[in-house]
Amino acid sequence: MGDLYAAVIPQAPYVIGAYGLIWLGLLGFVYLVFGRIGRLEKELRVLEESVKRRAQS
Amino acid sequence: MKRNLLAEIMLGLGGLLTSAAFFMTFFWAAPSSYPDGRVDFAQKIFYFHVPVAEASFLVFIFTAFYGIKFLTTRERIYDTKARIATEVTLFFVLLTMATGILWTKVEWGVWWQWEPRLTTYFILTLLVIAYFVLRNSVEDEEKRAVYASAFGILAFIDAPISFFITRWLNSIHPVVFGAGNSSGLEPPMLITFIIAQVGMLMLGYAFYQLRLREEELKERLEALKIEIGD
Repeated sequence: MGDLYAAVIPQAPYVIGAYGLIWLGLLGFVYLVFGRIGRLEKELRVLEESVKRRAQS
Repeated sequence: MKRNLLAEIMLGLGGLLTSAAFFMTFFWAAPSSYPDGRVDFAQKIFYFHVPVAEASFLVFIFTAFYGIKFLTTRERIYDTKARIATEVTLFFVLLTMATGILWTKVEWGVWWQWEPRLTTYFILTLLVIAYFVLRNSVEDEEKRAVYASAFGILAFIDAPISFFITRWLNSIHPVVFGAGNSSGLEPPMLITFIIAQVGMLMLGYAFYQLRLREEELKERLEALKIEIGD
């Protein structure tokens, strides 16, 4: 068990760093894109309603 | 605006598979060992490093594919699709480089080594970045699309070179698949890798479709703003 820890502990920061970067990247990408899509859809709804109102008046 | 249901399903499934692969990496796949019997814990990086690298190569195919489609049809949508594919490629390329550098530091004792795979992949990274530099340096929309399409097709040539170079030249970079009859991976290791690979490709597809949806929304918004402005 001591040998296992001796092998794992020095390499652990690199493995944690690699997986940390991957998960941060994947979740960050999804969060940013969904955030932008949400804002665009909201803006689009407001404009579409405005166009509709103008067409009715 | 219609939602892209398939992209959302792929995102969910991709997330599920990559999460499962992550847990399988640490709780199911046995750790690999060095020839002297010591545990090689850094090998765990392989389960996600290779899938993101393969995803970068596969998504980059679409840059070349839509580049050809644009040059033959001159339809703007293909230029947009090629640009988005290159964006997703850049995302995977950066993850590949980051995870690869961390693995290299542990296994080779250095952050970087100018050996064939790393060198050709570094060239690929520069080409993908140069694609966006080129796009931003050309103001005329038509010319920008033509130059970017041609550059994307040429840049893609480096992807198969980078993939196969470890099989053609002497390289210290490991070749897990295609070097012999067997990958040398135990079934739990191979299954974990395959699940991570499939999940990552699903995420790649979802990212591409979500970015495409964002671009479509932007275009629709611009069109509406012009309509209101009239």
